[in-house]
Amino acid sequence: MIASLQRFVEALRARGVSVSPSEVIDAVRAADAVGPEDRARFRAALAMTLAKDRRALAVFDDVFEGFFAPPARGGAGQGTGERGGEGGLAGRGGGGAETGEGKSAPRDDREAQARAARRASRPAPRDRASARTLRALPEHLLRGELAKAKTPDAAPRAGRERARPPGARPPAPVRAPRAVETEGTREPARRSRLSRLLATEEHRTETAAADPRRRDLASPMTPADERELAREIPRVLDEIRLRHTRRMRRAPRGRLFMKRAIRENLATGGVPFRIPMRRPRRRRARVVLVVDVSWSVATASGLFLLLAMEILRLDRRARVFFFVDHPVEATDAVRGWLRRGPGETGTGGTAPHPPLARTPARLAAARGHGSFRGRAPRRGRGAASGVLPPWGGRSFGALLEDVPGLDPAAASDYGRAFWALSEGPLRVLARGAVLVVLGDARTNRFDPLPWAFEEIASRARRVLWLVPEPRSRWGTGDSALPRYLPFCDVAVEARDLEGLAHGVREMAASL
Amino acid sequence: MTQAKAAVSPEQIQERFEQEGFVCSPEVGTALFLSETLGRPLLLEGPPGVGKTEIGKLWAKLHDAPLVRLQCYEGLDETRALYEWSYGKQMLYTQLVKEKVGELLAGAGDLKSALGSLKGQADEFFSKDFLLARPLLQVLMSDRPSVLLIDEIDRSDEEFEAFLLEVLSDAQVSIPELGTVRARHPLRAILTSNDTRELSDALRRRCLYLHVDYPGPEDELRILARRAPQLGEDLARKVVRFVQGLRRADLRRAPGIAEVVDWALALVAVGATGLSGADLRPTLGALLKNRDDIERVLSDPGKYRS
Repeated sequence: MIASLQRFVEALRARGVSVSPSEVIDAVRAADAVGPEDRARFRAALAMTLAKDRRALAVFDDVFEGFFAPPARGGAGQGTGERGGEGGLAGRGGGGAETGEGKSAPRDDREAQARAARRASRPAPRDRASARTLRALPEHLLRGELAKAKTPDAAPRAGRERARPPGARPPAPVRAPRAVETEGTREPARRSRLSRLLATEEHRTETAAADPRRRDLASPMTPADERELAREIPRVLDEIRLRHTRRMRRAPRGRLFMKRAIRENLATGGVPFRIPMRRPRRRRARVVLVVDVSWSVATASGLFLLLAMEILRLDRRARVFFFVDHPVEATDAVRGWLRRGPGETGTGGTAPHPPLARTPARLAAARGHGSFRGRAPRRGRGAASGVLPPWGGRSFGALLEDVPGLDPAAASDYGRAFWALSEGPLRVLARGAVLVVLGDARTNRFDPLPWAFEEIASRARRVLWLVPEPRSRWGTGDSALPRYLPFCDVAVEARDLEGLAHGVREMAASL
Repeated sequence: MTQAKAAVSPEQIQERFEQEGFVCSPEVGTALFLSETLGRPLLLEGPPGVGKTEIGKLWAKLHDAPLVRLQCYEGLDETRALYEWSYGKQMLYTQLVKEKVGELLAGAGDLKSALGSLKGQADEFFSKDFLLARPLLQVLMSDRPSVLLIDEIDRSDEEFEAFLLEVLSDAQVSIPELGTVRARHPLRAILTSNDTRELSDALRRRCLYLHVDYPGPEDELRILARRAPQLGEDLARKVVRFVQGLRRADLRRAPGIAEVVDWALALVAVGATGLSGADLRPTLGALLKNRDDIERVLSDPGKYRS
């Protein structure tokens, strides 16, 4: 059983679930305690030891079905293999036609099976280290752990009651459930770099299908995809806000504040129970957002502003500039766009942030109206530029059309925009600021004028660039990104919601 | 309570929960059994109102153990959760023993010897007598095994989560002035989360994880039969179908189990025979706690009945 569990864990890891060695040990002990007779319980035991969040649970269900054949099917190994193939296909299908997959499964059976096997043999990149540890964690060690759990004297936690008192049913004989066994699961085959790359991409699209945060914002989305993404936005907002407002008591820092120490400890007869410290107060940097709003990246821009302004809502000095072929100041327009209705005023003295308890409600509201409203595509703007704040209001697309002097359908010209900014508003504003640029730097072969950007960047305290494109495409075609990146402190791949949130966190960290 | 304390099998746990009037799914039974067997805390995650806290309370009851509950909130820190020095008491004692200290130091010739004779005594002020034990420390130091319920962990800050790791994985805490306090009994801990934010991997790794969802129609029917038997089977079925329909609709706040039971009792109280608009109007406040939701449902109740 241990061997098949290990293979099962590897299959989970191949699908991006991170499982630590201690969790594997837990799983082995849990499986032993429950026994494989009752499939539902066996499954529950593995699920609660190996899959620790909803995302992982979804993958777990998929892999479990393919791995441990239900007893009712009773067929030979062939039957289980088939299920594995199906599971693999369904995982990749995403929002596509689900009805067709069931039918096509037998035909592609062999290929799908081989693919599933290959996947199973390959640990996800971030899990490689722990996978190595697991391999170094040999079977006999796990067996030893199991034996320890069985003998009460040597139980890892002394004093724990025995799992089964003497009167209860004897420990079930450990029987291995039938598992899919293919060549790939045993010996990871050597593969060429290209096929490895392809595999990574395959894995990425697979996880993307399961996770709305990983969905490529540039790819076309069905209304269902958009709804899922919209549902995710309030959660991301909350995560950013929570991370930003930490309030735990910290260790004392700075110099002793003698005057206050004497005053505060008068009540205790001069015995210093409270020791106040004086910390030099650092002035928060101004944030300047420079955002490319041409239709091709408008979805990412809109979402980014939604997330970023969550942090900058109370920051009166923050400024926003839009540009396509020339820059336009849009601070007021963006603030107006993101202003909450009278029922949801987040601004105002007492409650700087709307209470967290309201979040699920807002989340539900987002479900109702949709942060994305499926608009008819017009002039290539695409349905995706209908980004809406979760609490309702205008779409980002509508906002862009209303900003005076801005034409989102124009040809992007980064060089001219940066030059105008460096000569104009950013001459003063960029000094000591945190500068955040969002754009793909596709400048239609116009001169990128990197020195203009350098001018701005050299004045700023910190420069972040969010690129709404996969890293593999940076600098390809008409992208002038490599000319600009040397002047940036951080470049973030922000092709999906998670990437954007990462960029915003970076921004918050540099304030 | 005379029941045997050790959890023998998932089935038995399930049975005992049923005896207590809690409709227990096999997953919950298995989870509690494994938590006991493996000695791991159990993390229950799910929407509000599905009975996560209730599981913790019943678990304590079945073990005939006191329940120590730690309600988390934003800004909760170790002085509220673990321990705090009782400054007031320390102050008071300092004043009381002032003269005694004078006597002690009378013989000392110089400052050095005075400090030397005080050295051994000063630690007295940082002993267990001056320690205010908060829930976590109470559990670790108690003479009887108790059940620790850490409620709504997702409301606390990330730092607090990190601070919990030592308690959850090794059942011990380190207090700088006292040293390490180890649990005298195996720690039975249940954590609940409403999933309003992502918990850290480190925390999840130390726990068994169970996602508790709203019950299916059959289970919900059984719950109603237990909690509101006066309702009658026919009406109960209608109620369940209606509520399941509500949960599928995108309401601001979906009704939890306790609210459904309240609503059923309210329907009984007004003598409702069906779910017509006249029956809904006065009672719906027991089920839905948001004005928009109520208006939406009242405008077209038929949509949710099917």
